[in-house]
Amino acid sequence: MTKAGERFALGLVLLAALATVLPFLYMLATALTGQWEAFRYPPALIRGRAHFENFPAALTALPFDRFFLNSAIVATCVVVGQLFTSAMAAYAFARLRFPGRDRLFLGFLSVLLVPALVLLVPRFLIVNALGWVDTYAGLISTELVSVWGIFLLRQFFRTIPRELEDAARLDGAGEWTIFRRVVLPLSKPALATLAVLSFVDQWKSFLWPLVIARSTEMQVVEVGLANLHGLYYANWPYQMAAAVTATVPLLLLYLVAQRYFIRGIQMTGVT
Amino acid sequence: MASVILRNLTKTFDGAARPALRELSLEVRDGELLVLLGPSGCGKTTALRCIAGLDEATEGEIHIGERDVTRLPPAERDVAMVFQNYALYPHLTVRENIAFALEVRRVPRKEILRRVSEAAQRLGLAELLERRPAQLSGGQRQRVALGRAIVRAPQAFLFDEPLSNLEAPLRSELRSEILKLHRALGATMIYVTHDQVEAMTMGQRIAVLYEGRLRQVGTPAEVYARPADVFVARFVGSPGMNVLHGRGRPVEEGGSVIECGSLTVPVALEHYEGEIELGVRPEHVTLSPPEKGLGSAEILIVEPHGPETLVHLDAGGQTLVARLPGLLEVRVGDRVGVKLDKRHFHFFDASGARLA
Ligand SMILES: Nc1ncnc2c1ncn2[C@@H]1O[C@H](COP(=O)(O)OP(=O)(O)OP(=O)(O)O)[C@@H](O)[C@H]1O
Ligand SMILES: [Mg+2]
Repeated sequence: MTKAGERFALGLVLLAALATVLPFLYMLATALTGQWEAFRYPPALIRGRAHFENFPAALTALPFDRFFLNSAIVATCVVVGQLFTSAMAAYAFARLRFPGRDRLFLGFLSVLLVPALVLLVPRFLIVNALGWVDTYAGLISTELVSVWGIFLLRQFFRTIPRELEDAARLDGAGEWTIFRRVVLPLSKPALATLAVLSFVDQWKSFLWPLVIARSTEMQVVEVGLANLHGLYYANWPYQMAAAVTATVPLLLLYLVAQRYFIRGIQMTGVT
Repeated sequence: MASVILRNLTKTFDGAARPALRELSLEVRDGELLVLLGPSGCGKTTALRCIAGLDEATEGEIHIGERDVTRLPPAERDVAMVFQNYALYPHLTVRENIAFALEVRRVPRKEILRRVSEAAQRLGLAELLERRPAQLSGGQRQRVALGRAIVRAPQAFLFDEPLSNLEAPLRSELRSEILKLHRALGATMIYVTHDQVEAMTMGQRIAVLYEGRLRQVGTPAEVYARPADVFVARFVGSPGMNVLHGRGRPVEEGGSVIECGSLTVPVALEHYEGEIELGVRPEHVTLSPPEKGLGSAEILIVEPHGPETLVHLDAGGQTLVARLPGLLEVRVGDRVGVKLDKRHFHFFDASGARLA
């Protein structure tokens, strides 16, 4: 690329980064503003002193500690479950030979085309029939299989050289040993990618918890934020303080998994 | 150790028009190093994979030692394979790579330690045991692959072009390493290569494969001296045998002559009439002044190699190569006479099969 071209590309990237970060900064700034200053026009990023007291006030207005715990439990269980089911199913679709394999896989993929909203009512009816409304089982069970996760891992498994599998077979390894001792360790980037994406997805999930969790003790963070809006609809700094706190676990997760995550994205071409 | 016997082994891949292997019958003796030689795509890898059990034979039988292993899974066949691209487990250290097969087979830990260090010692890997494959050179990786094979003490070793990713000096070093292993272990080895120099220098016997069919089995000397057909004749040797296409006719004073291109070659065949392929190795072709010899030819290419010179000739549309000692004073475009040593003629019929 030419010098000018490089600069142009860099400018574009910076612009995109700014566009991504700006709303977040605005949120952070609002979270630190006094309640009435937030309505001042024109809005400014920095206004007077920082009101850190917004955070404890907002987080105790509703039992957010409980909500965080619930979100963490649900998201962690879902991540573990999805890693488990996706990896096994993906291995079967990528490596085992059985009749109708590829057609079955296409069938699975086509589920991605069904909007989640369409599934909401039938899912609810099933969970209700099982008596799982307002329980962790109700929140978690429907999320344990991810077609997208199966797809991601299948694509990754297919890039692992067949000869490694052949070598392992000659070394005396059975299917399970190949899966656990060769394929899984080589798939760490893809597994980490899936773990992060599915954790974030769960953390942000709103509709299903809204429908399933009835009592205050079973609420998750995302629903808690919405309830806060109902209670303090005019108090933007409180709402933003809670929202900022809700993103902290995700930021930490990204930081920890970044190394794997980026490699995973590069290796699978998934964005 | 054990013998490996193939009976009418045929392999047709799903959807393939032609079989990759056709009725391959071959006996590899206990403790023998047999080289499977053939050009790219002739089915060498397929044969090895069938023996290893990685591909299932469409028809035929495979015996290893006393056992019929045709329907056994790879793990129960007790053979080790060394792959062209090493196929080391990238996430494991050298030690773990070598130990993997033993761990999977639940060999006691002490025994694993002993056997791994013995294999490492033998292959000069002792210093590298804690490294990962990515931190090794190509030659070291292939040594690790060898270590992974020998540590199991299998019934037979299968090598699929193990040296073709390495540069020449390393190749000859590892070649002698493998020969040393073969002698030390007294192991049965099947060694696949498309490199006929490798085949000649390594094999106790060579099996030549072409288009999925076995063309000839024999010691390197036999295959070189009495190729079974035109394909083997052309393929073995560097450069391979000259095969001239001609017509034979009987002559009154006995014997026949073969007219091929600008050459008229008297041969000892009695009353031969019709098409024939005349084979003669480059070292049995010599040059003479244009008016002498069996006919004249034009020099196409001169390849000086130092101790010898290869001269490519065009004799009336038929090309042949002469291997001549030393450096020569000939130039491209010169016309020369051609002499052939009739004690070293090979005759093949029109279909390519050896006559007599
Ligand atoms: N899995 C497969 N499916 C279909 N055809 C195959 C498969 N593997 C090999 N073949 C075909 O079988 C034939 C023999 O292939 P094989 O790999 O045994 O050749 P090779 O002698 O090992 O060649 P090379 O020297 O290039 O490795 C080829 O025509 C190849 O295209
Ligand atoms: Mg091959």
